[in-house]
Amino acid sequence: MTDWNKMRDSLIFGTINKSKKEMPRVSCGKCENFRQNSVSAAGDGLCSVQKEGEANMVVFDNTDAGECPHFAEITRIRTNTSEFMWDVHFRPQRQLNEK
Amino acid sequence: MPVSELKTREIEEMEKTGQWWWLAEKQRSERLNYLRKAVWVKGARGSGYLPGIKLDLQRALWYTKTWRENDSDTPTIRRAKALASVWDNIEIFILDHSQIAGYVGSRPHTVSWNPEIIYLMNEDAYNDRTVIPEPEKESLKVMREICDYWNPRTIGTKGMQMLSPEDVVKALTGFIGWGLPLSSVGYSTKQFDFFMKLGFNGILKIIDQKMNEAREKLYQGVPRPEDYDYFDKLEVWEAMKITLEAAIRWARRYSRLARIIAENFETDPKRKKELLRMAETCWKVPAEPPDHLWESLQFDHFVQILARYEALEGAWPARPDYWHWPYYNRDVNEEKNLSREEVIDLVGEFMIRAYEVGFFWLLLARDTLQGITGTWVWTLVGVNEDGTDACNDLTDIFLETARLVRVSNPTFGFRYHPNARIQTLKQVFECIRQGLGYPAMRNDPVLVANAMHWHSHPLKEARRWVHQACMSPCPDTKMGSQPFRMAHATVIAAKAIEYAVFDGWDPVLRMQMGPHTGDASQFESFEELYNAWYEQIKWLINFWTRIVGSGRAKAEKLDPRPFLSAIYERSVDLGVDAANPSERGNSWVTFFAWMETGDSLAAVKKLVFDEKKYTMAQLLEAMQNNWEGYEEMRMEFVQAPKWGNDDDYVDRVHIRCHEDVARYCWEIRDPMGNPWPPLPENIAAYVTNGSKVGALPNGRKLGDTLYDGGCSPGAGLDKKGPTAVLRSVAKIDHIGSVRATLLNQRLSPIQLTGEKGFQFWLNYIKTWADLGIDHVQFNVVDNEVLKAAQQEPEKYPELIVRIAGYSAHFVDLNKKTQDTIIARNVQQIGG
Ligand code: SF4
Repeated sequence: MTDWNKMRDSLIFGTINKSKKEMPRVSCGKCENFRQNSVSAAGDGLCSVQKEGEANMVVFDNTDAGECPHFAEITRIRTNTSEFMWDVHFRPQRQLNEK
Repeated sequence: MPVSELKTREIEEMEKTGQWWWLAEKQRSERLNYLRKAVWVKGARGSGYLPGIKLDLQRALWYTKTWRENDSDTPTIRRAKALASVWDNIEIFILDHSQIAGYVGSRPHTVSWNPEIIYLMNEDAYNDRTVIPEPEKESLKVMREICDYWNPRTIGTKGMQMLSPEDVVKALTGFIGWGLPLSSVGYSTKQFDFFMKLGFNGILKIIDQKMNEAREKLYQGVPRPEDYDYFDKLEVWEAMKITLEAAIRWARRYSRLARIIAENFETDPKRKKELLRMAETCWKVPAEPPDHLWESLQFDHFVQILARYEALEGAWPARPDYWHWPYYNRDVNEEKNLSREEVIDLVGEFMIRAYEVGFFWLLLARDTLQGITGTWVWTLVGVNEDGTDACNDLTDIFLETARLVRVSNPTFGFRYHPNARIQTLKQVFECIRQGLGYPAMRNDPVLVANAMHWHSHPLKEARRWVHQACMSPCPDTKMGSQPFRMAHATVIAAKAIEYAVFDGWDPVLRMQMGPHTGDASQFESFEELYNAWYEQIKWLINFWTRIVGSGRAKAEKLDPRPFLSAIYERSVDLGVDAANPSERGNSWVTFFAWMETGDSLAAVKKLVFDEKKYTMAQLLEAMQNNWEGYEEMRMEFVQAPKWGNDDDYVDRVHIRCHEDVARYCWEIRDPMGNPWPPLPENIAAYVTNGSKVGALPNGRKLGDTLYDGGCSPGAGLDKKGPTAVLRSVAKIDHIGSVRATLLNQRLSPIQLTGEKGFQFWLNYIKTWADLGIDHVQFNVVDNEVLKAAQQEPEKYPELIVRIAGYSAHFVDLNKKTQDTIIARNVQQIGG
């Protein structure tokens, strides 16, 4: 069973609190499986591999992925906002670098 | 320089190259030239603001400070006081040569940031690499404090906790549409015949009278049970008063500034006189009703700016030629206070001041509205309340001035009707021919009937319609004016195809999103697939209308709009916030990526079920693999019959989808008790949504752009010419099946030269109107010009293209979007 309540709260309050955390060396934002939510560039999103019930797990661009067995290093990071729009490799956040 | 003084050869050369902006530059006055060039462009390119654009922190600081100081007040009063403090304290400016004052920020290069709206926007801004004002470190520190205060308290934070948790999680992905159910990001029709007639002091008098009557009822004798509602009403009226009084003070700060500059710094006597007139104007309006054109334009502009301090109004419903005509008529025709040139200067600046407006938007809005801040589609002409032609000389001036200032925002939607006068139609044609991409042509009799059908607006009020956003008509009357962006119920319709094929599974997100509608590999008939699609599209419609409807129903308490309420007759009369759903209603559901539906379903019908060339299992496999390794098969699906060629095989599928969706949309109700009509269109969402919609049975791959219109054929798929396009599009019932639907067409500039070109175009328009199609808009620019502009953007600064529902300067778009314009077929009309 998916605990949608928990997921919603993780998304909302995780986003609110994420700026207090540093960007780890290995993070979900640097993983191919991260699907960043496209409403904003706040860095909230879902993992397209790990599940919470039937739904995808809530993660953020700066979630520590050091221990994740499914981490797949991203091949490309697009940060240039004047050329790119949302896609699975779009990471406009200031903590991530072009790749 | 008047055009007659330009060398004929030079003009011909410009016509040939399509570089109309050089002609505009030579024709416009020095003042307009300066103002046009001095403007800071606020639309995003790609998803980022242009170099030099910075966040304005002043509004955020003053709003937050005052909000925090008044924590014992109710949200309505607190909001009114917070706004008032912004208007009392934010730094203001008047630009050189300018005659119209007022900006939503403290500097002309800033975009406003409203931190109270939604935590996502705050973190988006904080993370942005380009817009943080210098010194960046200090600004980030200030922003962090503001974000940390607001994030747990934003309207969005509270609103999301009210909604179904599952809905919130799915909505936030941005994969199935959008619908921020907040009045703070809602655009509103303005009821001009209320505030312009009374002025703010006139409204304040009415409010005082109502408050006195309410107090009498509550404070004397024993109130009747229903009288106790007056406690709430008194609070709403009090909030209205706070904002109206502060708005007058804000305008008078401009008056004082203009006088200070005139009396202390200005040496040019002509400019000094202008500044003193500005001082008088800003003292008078919006406190009192205007008498002259310069006052009415200033009044209008102040109201629009004030509303944008309160909310990120992403559209600009207006009918300037209609509402400003009496003042024009008086000044130009009766009292002869203004010359035509002076009017053009005022109108030109009125457009430039609107173009200048900018906010910090969420990524989703920056992506989908690239090139502009919002869809400022101003409505021209149409009919008067009695059905007579509303064309006037001011209409012609707006059209002529548009060609001089060549802004991409505002644009115009022209309410075409059979009695529209030829001299005005020639002006329209000239704008289109000169590549503005606007006016969009709207079929007035169809849309009047449509407004009566879907929302029961009485005939006279339906005739008062304006573009609520880029497409949807809405009356600007007391009970018709819409205060809240109900179009936030926006579905990415192509997702319903994917979900029908994959049993509700999203192959890009890799998550179950839609309902289970069965394993499509086992479907044995087209009907099974169609029914699965119908369930999925209904699920999408339910999803977004539920979210937006809930937001609307609760917005009065959660997200009140005291200023907007104060300029709405309905709100002042009833003592309710503008967000209270007591107007007649004008909701709609925007359908992005809609026309892929019929083309996809028809391809499956033909190749899988009629001709049995492929099985559903094969199709699923090919789509799962994004057609990689299935190129031959993909080409067959691409070559299957497509919309826009007057081919009944595919057109029948499209019409069935339209009719079934319209029937469902008629059954469901918004908080005002009205249906939710479908409105297919795409802003620039057809580009960015291309990365979210996976492979489709029309042969499209993940990442490819989607179709650009609401009823336009896919780019390059209309192979049988413009008449076949019109014939296909005319099969849609433009009254009963849609609230409106967008048709993009590209025409050849060469064909539109001279009187012959006008006649070609007019015949096309007459055919289009007779066929009962509600909308068409044109791009008239050669691919050579567009390609040259990609190479040397600095030479093409004012080259405008129509995207879908709005226009943008070509050089302000990212390459991917530019390429989609180039890919559209150029049609030859007549001849
Ligand atoms: S697979 Fe692991 S590292 Fe990658 S997004 Fe999911 S949780 Fe993060």
